[in-house]
Amino acid sequence: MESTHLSQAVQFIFAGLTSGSIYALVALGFNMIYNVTLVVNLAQGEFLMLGAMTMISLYSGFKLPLPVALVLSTLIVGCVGILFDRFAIRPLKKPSIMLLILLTLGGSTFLKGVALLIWGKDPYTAPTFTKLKSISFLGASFSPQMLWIIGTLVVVSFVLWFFFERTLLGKAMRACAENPRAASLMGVNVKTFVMISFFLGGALGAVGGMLMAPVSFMVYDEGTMMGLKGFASAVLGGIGSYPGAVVGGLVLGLLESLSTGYVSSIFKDILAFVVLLLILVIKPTGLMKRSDE
Amino acid sequence: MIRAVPYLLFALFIYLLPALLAGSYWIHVLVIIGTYVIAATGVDLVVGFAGQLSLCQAAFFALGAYASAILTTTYHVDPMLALIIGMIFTGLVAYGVGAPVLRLKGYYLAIATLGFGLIIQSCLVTFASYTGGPDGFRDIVPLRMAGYIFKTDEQYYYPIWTVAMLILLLTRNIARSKVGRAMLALRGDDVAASAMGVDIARYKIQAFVLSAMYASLAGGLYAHSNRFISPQMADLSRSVEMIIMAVLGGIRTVFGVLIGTTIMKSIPEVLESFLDYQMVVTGAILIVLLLYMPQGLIGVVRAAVARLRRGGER
Amino acid sequence: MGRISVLRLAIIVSVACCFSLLCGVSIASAQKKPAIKLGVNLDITGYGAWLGEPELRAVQLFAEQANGRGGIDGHPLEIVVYDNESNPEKSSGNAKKLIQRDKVTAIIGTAITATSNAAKSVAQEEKVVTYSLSGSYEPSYADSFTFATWVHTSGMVETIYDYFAKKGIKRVATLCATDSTGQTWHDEANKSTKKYGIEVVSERFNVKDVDVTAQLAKLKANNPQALIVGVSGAPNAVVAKNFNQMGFKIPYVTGHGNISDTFLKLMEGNEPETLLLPGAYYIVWRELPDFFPQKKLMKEFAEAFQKKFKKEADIYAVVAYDAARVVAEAMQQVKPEGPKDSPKLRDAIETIKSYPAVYGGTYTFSKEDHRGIKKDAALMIQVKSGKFVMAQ
Repeated sequence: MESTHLSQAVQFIFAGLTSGSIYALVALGFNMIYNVTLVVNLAQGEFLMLGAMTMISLYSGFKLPLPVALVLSTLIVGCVGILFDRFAIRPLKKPSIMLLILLTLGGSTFLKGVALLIWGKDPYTAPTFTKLKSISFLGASFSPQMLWIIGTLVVVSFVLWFFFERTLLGKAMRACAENPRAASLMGVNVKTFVMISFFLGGALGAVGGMLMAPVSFMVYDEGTMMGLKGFASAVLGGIGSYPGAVVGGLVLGLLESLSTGYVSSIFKDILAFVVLLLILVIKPTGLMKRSDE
Repeated sequence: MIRAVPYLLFALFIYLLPALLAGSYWIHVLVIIGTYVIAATGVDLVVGFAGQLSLCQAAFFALGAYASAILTTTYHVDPMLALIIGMIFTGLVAYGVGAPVLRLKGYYLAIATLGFGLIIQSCLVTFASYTGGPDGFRDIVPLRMAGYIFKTDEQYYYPIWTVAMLILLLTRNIARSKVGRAMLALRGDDVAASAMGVDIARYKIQAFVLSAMYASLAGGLYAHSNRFISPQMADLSRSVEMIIMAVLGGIRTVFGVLIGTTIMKSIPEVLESFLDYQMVVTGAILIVLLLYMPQGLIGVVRAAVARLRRGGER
Repeated sequence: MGRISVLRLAIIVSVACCFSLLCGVSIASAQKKPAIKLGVNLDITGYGAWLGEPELRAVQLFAEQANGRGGIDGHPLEIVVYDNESNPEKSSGNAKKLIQRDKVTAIIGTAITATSNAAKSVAQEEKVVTYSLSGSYEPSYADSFTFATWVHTSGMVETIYDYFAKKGIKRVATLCATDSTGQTWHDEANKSTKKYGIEVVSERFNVKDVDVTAQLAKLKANNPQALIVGVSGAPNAVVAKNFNQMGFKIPYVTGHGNISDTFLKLMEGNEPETLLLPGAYYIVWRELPDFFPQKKLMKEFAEAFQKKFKKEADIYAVVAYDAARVVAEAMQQVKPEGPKDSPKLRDAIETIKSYPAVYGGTYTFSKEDHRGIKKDAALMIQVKSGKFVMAQ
């Protein structure tokens, strides 16, 4: 009996880490754009959907080799991110939090509409990146795709850290977010940085989607819920904080799977969001940010 | 007295409209527009005047609807009484949530209210023995007033629009009162407002609770006139739609809410034949309107009028 | 001044054009008998889209065929289509619109339970025949104006339990979604357990979940002999993937909302060893012997659909086609002029007996039975190498 309990617990934790890692990737995309432009992009979930759909089309439809399909879709969705900024955000003359939220929601409807026209209403799925069926660990079994998901999250987090802490471009981008006027006076081209941030935001969303497609499925309107969960993760960890996004995503994922496992599957969504509310009320700046920041 | 003329003309127009549209489907659309005007006016109060981005108006809308539906249909309470109980209940819930949550700012407030909306929606799905679960609550008792039973859309039109106009009038008066000016003050700057002796927390919560009660009233009326409600009423997209209704016409204006709601509820009727293209077109319309008319349609008209005047003087 | 007169001219010209057009139309139609209008309220986009789309096509095909045969006793059959986006409130709005604005005599739709439930109040209020295509919707109640296709979910569950009894399966796990379809499956699966001596453990999941291993792990602890997954459509992909990855070898049974090519494509590479669904005889019509009573009917429909849409007609197209046939059969008797004649149409449908179903079996309606088809029209279907075949 003991071993059943252990294997169940391990299973719950793996389930939580899988969804949590995807939430974390979406949250990283949010922060990427937020940190440079102060825009919270609620169409981030649609980038995820577009990434998955493009990858499936390139791989299953055009029969491109998997790595090529992955790289191409990342680039394509990154470019969609740039276009999104150019046509839906930049023309706004006097940005306010409310207008930006509504605009990105409008953009999200638009992108969903475009996906509906391209891919129709059918759900699609993709094969796992590796042929192996399942991996066992401590009596629990999970998909090898999970290793890809968690591995990618680790790599992406490291690359982002390196980029913002160790490269000149990254440091300049951070400076730009902190004080755009000063940055532009220092000869930093703010517009280019905004473009880069939207490209990276789109690309991060796409990566999340491509990793998720093989364990789940994708439909034109599937991105919205993932976008919301990602947004919740970003806020949970403290908006703008990269370690916060990762922690927030994983915490939300674990909350969901542990409440499913130990309380009841029907109360899962309620519990996860009640905890989110409590955390916000007790520590309004999120888990990973000091309140004085 | 002269100032009241446009309002009286408008009321006259509203009351005469059904005669022009007799037997038409648009009466049904107008009844829906009327209910949403009530709820969206609440959004105007919180988002427009108090400047608090709340994304859970639809949750209050659904709470009012379910309260009314359950009380009248399951427990046989008089519909009018049920509407009032629903409003008090929703107001209390709003107070309970608002007191801690309204201390948050900006995006944090947005996500907290969004989370609250999701909780309400999940509860409506989960507690199926009371709410009918995901199937929705059907065969709701129709509205009854002094023995008269409201059945058709034509019959609902007058009470709903009367309530809507009273709510608009009430909101306009609040906006022009001391409280309204105080609310406007918080919109700009909390610190300055409190330095001037404005009790920010109190006004914020008052606006939030009042707006929740509007939404509850709208929800209750909707439940009785539509006879069917479902947890999708509490959906985030519905809250967003209500905010857009308030913003589109021109935020912080009574007629703005009317115009915004009318546009938002007419677009799907007009675009019906586009089917697959509807989503793209709705998204594009939204983006264009928000980008180029952030002050809403009324703002555009005002600017145009101002430009014309200036041109005339020259 | 000049501009205004141009504008005025334009208005006069366009009004004149409209007027002459209207006259032309009314003259043209005056020569024929007035059209009978049939409303279609379907889930063409949104969650129920993969049911709504083939259903719409089938009704279009039927209208074309009926008009080719000279319509309903000389009256052309005109269909008016609205999409309810799988949204319950839109569904009740559409029903009102079809009746009040378009004056239809009867409505076909909707595809899923939630939207059918929403349209019910309108059907009763306006007294207009409304034919649901959902297998979980319950149309038989006092003074009902609603009808429904399919063998009801309760009959489907009993078909599954009959099959389990034959295979000696006693311990069953169910994993049902938290939406309407899932709710019905959850309730029905837990209802008839006593009669069959079956022991059921249940878990629920949200259709938006990307991982259900937590639920499966809990179910696994009870050592079930079969799993019933109460959900329609894409979420099955998630459940099946997790099911395989956790090393389950037991039969995987899912609902009759999944009998389409889209489903097969979705499950490709992730099929459980034994994948079963309750269904109808039409699904396996190619396998049926020639003496099967409705085989000819099935073949004709399948070929006509294939010819018009270059696509295989699935069972959802069939239920919509059957609904249209039943309504048209009653229209032949009543020749309705508008919504006001719908009560007569309802009474006419209730007199239809032993009417052959493309679905497989026959429809016999009565005041008490608005589904017209019984459990004996259901059978177990199995997915074998990417095809639906009769379960052994």
